[in-house]
Amino acid sequence: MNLGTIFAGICAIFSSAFVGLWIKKKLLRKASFYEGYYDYLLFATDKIGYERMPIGELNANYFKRRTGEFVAFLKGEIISIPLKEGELTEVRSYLDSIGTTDAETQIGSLSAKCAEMKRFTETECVKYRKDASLYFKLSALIGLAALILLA
Amino acid sequence: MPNELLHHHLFKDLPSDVTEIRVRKRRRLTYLTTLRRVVLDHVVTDAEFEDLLSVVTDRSLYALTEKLTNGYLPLKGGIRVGVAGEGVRDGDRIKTVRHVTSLAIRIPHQIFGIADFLEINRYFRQNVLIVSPPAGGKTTLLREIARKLSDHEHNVVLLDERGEISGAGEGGFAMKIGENTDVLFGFPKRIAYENALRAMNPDYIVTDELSGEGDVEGVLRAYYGGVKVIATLHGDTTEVFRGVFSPLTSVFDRIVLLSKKPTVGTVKREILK
Repeated sequence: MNLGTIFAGICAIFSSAFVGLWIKKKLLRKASFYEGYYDYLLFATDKIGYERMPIGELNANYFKRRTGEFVAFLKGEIISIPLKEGELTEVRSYLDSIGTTDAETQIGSLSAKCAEMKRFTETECVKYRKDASLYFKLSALIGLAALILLA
Repeated sequence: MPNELLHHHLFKDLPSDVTEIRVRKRRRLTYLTTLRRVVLDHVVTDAEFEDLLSVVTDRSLYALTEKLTNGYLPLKGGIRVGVAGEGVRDGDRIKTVRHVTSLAIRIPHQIFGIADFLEINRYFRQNVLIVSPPAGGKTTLLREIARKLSDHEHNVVLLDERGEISGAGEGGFAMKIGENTDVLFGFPKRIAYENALRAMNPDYIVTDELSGEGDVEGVLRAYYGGVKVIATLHGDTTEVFRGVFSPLTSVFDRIVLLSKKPTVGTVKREILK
């Protein structure tokens, strides 16, 4: 095994590990984003349901207590959002619809959305987190396999 | 323009002297100035209407349930937005309004000097009733009278439930209402008369749109208490002291009837007792 092959193998391990890390990070961010979204919906349901708190005040209160991926998104502080275009459009359009209906309809809609997101975080977000570590391990293994094959 | 609402893209080409804008879903945008009514070619789309409604309600329609049942939303700068849509009933009362289809945006403005014909000075002691059809210039004249009285050292208490006369909001007034004017903003009228008479020691009580027995009772209390009243009333004749308003027959020293023609705020007739 010459030096060139060893170097190529190490490069393959690092490259695939990097890709794995990137996928892992993306999936973890996605899980964190959706968990933040669910948390925000719970907060909004509570504040709108009991206090009829206007959206500006509601957001200001929420920002005081929370940080993370979703808060940064709400504040417009992040450019790269870890969601596919369709997923992001769905989130955006629901958030935009908050405040456009009377109290009764609004609370009904928020409660239904909360129930939907509860199910989603309990299944999909858990899956994203599992997949994240799986992808990283798999990528590292692929790199190792490449090294062995090259050798 | 006194409010960010008026910077909405739908209104970008409207003149600065606009007094009222009518926005109706899927219908043409209409506006009024003191001189004319203009119907634009632009048909308001659903998306534009929803966007405007969102601005008007500060993206919180659900928070305005009670105000919506009154049929209007008071905004900063004395702007009042009339709302029409489907009333949601709860027994005999209207719980809220949904599926809003029309907005009537009333923009207050101030015209200095329009009350000069009343010759207000520090010795002026008259009860004045201003009568006009809707959007006839009552509130603009009332605001100017309040300012002039105040500037002539009369203590004026403005009963401004909706903030429309003074442009009240967040601790300030968008309109010039005089140095000696106190504003009771947001108070229901029946409480406002009581508070004004009991606590503010006014020379004048100025109030918009007398509308029922509560107002009549308040005006009479002020009158018999030696406080002068400047008020407005919807109508297009000076024969207004009928029905619920008949007890006010002897109260007012001067009745000013306004007309929209040839321009809004034209004094059509004036009766001095």
